[in-house]
Amino acid sequence: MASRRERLVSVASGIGVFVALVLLWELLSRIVTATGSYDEPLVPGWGYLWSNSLLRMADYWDGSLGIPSTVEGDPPTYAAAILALGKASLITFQRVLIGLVAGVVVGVGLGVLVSMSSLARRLLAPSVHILRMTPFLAMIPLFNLWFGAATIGIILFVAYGVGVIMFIGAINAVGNVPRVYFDRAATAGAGLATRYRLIVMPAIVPELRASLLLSIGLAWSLVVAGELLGAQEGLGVIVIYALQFAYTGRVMIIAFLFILYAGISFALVEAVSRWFIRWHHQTT
Amino acid sequence: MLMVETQSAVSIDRLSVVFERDDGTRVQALRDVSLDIGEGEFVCVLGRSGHGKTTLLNVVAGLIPSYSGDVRVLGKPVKAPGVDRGVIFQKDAVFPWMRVEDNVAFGLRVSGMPKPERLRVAREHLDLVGLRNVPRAWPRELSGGMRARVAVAGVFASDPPILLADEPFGALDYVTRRQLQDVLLSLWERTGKTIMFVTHDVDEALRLATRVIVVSNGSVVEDQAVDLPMPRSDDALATPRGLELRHLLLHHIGLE
Amino acid sequence: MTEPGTGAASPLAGGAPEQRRPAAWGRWLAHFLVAPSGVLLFLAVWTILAIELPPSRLVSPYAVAVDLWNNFLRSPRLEVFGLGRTGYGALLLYTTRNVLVGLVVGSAVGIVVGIASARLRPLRLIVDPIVLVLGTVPVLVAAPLFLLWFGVVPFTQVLLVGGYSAVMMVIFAQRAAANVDPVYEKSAMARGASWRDRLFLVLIPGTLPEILGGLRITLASAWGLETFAEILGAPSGIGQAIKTLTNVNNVAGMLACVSLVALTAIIMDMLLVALARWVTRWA
Ligand SMILES: Nc1ncnc2c1ncn2[C@@H]1O[C@H](COP(=O)(O)OP(=O)(O)OP(=O)(O)O)[C@@H](O)[C@H]1O
Ligand SMILES: [Mg+2]
Repeated sequence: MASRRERLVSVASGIGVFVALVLLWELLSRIVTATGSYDEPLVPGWGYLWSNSLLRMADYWDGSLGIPSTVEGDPPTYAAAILALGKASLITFQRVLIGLVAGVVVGVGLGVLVSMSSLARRLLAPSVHILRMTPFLAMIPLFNLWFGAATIGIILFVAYGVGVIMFIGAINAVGNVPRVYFDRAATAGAGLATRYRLIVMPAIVPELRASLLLSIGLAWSLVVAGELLGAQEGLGVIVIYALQFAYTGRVMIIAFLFILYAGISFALVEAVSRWFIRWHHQTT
Repeated sequence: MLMVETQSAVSIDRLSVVFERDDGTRVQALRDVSLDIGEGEFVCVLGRSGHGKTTLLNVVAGLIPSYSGDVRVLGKPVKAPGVDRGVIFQKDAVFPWMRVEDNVAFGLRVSGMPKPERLRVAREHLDLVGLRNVPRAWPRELSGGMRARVAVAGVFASDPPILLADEPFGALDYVTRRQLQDVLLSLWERTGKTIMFVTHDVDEALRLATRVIVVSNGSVVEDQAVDLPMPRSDDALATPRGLELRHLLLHHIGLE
Repeated sequence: MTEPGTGAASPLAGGAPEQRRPAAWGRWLAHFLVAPSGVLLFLAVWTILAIELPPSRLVSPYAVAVDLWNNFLRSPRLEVFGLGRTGYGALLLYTTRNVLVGLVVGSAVGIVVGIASARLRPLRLIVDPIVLVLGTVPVLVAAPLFLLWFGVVPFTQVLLVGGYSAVMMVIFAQRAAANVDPVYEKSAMARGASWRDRLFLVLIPGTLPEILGGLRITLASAWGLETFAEILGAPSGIGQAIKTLTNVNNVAGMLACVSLVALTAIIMDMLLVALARWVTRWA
């Protein structure tokens, strides 16, 4: 275990590293002054990001709530920019959340169900392997074709990716439950349903949690990818618009937001789910 | 035989078990074992590692359904585990995701006893094994010896007429082991259960058993009543009769 | 005598590590019957779905195989849509090359940094915060930026795959190095080993099994990343074919391309497993 002093050092150096990166970027922006098409600097400095790229997010505000849109010729405001980002974030976030929950519930449910029969497990193993090895990201166009490029298609895409990962995670987790626990439950008179409720379900939580934490990064990746390829609204769509005019700064701002959201949701789920494995010997 | 039997708790007739390993080779774990255990007996199954003790116990527990021969518990053929037989496993089987009292109350929960009642019973039994202070602890917070006590409390709380224990104290230090032997003996005397207790330790067998069965290479090679008065102090085991029994058993498990 | 492993006493087939495996003949059966029937099951479900759904949504595996066969060496269709004289095969080669170059370069950097940072605390203090952020984050948000910076060139995709591989392998290598029991290094040191001996005779062999496991996971995701980067913008590659075929709603072609990537990924994975098994045959 790290001592308090050591932890302090690592936190301090972490902050130091990020400050250094921020400064390095600024330096780079001063050196590389090349611009792309539409006069956008290829390496926008922090000042440009703040005063231009962020402000210009107002372009994506539709003018409701009495905050004027730039489409009518009004000057961009930070209020409109924040509102535009907030609205797009909410749409994206909702897709991640619903997709993640659906994928986890269906994946774990099916995984536990399949693990009841060794024949079913072995029969399904090739299919599962094929689905696992078929790159999710290559399948976006198929999902767009099947379910449309709107919200429902993206949610299903996220749910599918997360579902496959959680399904495999659940089967492995059930397989790793020590046999002696089942034997003890059986000799205490527990039937199949009780064994699943009182043994399997709690015993697989630590491993499922690892799969879940993996799934969060995956869910954000899938939502980014889904939105970049043909959604109508959401954070990724702002990137598509910005790409058309080579607005590097705006792409960077959205990228930062994705990184921030993914990091926060990861940390949140990690902290909250820790409660469920407080019985486990390594609660990290 | 010494015992006057009213009814046999466990009766085994020509039991054989063959395991097939993954590489296709076969192991005859038990060969033609016949055995009768009366109600209230404390039988120790003694033998060296890998000679079939766990297999024998697991057949009686109903955990190995693919045996040949006839095995009956309280007159009924054994096909599956049942609540008439409580088991303490060789491996640590305390559920790590349940608090200590919930572990002890597990069997009662399965049998449908309401929560307040089963927790009361669980705490009573934690008391009996000397774990009064840790009902709400997680198993990971206990020592190995304390977890062994939890396992003992758990089977006694469920109150099965027959208790099957597989080297329950195998991994413990000498002093703890002696303490738990005393706990087990006092519980046995209180409840009058039939106990089948697997061990590879001759002294443990002599201290606990009313009868010792020696298993060697899958066969019963000795069936010896232990006619020493209870409780058996170290001195009692050092009497001529105690030493004689000790030599006999050591001889049968392959020493001397 | 029935086999113990499949008896009624194992209430959960998966729940018995030491008894889970069926007996020898059962495993023979498993190998030669269950796995192929599993593949057949997959194809059967696909076929049934294809019969139920209109051909504009899904076509059967057979139709996909035919499309694959007709377009593998040269695809006039792709030519019409501006990908030049090419076929799925050549595009797949581009994709595979990018994945392998990115994976090899990226993971080489990642493994070195990972092992080094596991033993050199100052380096670790710099690497950890970066990895902490990049490791939990969708790496592909960088794809549009790379496209803007470097343009529609192979380097854009290689950089994405390489960057991803580097981050992943830093994490795996660090974890692997942490899991090598210090007693080995101590005993090596006690026998007079230099730091170089320690690295090449203890640390690298000791971490290899876990590192190869991590490489497998990284490789599996790299295919998707590469294909996605190609769809977003690339001079060639199977992702470009998918994009083109999507624009003309050619389902058979889309499925053929996706299946092709999947097939390649599965074969590469098998090769990596074989390699790992050979390299770590002592484990
Ligand atoms: N599931 C199994 N598959 C194959 N062989 C088995 C299996 N279980 C036990 N055996 C074999 O049966 C024999 C008896 O094993 P058993 O577990 O009954 O020994 P034991 O007397 O309990 O030993 P220990 O004192 O070490 O626990 C051993 O040779 C063992 O290898
Ligand atoms: Mg044993």
